[in-house]
Amino acid sequence: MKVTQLLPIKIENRLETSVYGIAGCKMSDIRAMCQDWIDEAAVKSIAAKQNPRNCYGYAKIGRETLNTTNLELDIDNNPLGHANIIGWPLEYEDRLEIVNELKLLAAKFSPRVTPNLET
Amino acid sequence: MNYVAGYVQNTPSSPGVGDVAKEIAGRLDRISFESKESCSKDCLQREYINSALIELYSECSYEGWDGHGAAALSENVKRRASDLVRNLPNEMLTADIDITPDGQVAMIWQNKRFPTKLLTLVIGGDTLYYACRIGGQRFKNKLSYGFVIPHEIRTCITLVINPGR
Repeated sequence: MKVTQLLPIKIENRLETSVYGIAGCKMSDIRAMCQDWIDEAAVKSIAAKQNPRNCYGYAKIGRETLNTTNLELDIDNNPLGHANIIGWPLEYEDRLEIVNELKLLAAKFSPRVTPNLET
Repeated sequence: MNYVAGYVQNTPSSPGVGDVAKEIAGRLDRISFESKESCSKDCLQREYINSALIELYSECSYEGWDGHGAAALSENVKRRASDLVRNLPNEMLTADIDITPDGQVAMIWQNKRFPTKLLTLVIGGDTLYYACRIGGQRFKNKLSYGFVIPHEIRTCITLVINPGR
């Protein structure tokens, strides 16, 4: 997992990292989510369409892990299962420190999985 | 409840995916077995990082390159990242390179044997941000970047890549 995947982006003056809840999901459900994400990107962005993405894996982060970093989860279910990690500190280096921690903790929860999706 | 984050590589093709980077990665692999290769491994590693940076720029220099609102990688940030790579000593060229969703270049060093030795450095034009973890110790800072890599960045890289615990 790359730490850059966890860094937030500012949307309407709020720093957020887009995630999906996967409790109770089968691997096939997770693959479908990945494909939807890729397809949506291709529709929204010419650049993403010209350089289609592949899904190489995902990082599983327990909610309790988020709590240890003082981040919060804002579940909007748009689309279903979607949530944003919020509560990011303003200083960039503080955010980097958090994503380093999440990278290490997420690795403990989840070995790398490669759905091997093609776009 | 578990959540998946970044489950899709919402960055462009990772370094090594493009044709040029693939070729270089292949040569790097061969060098592991063929020590008599004419170009040194360090030389190819630098070439590999530079070609990865060029490929990332070609794919991420547009607003919304990921289709989900990512900021464009600017020519200035790419140039400053190239400067930094050029100024790194060969033995420090073990980083992974990537683009952040806010359009900056990230270099990540992680010790393969001791994964809790980890440095994430973000190059945002003339500013560097880093967070480093060496076992239980944590360091972080925001630094201005002129033409010389700050000493504390070099120290962190050295600590991370050091094979000892």
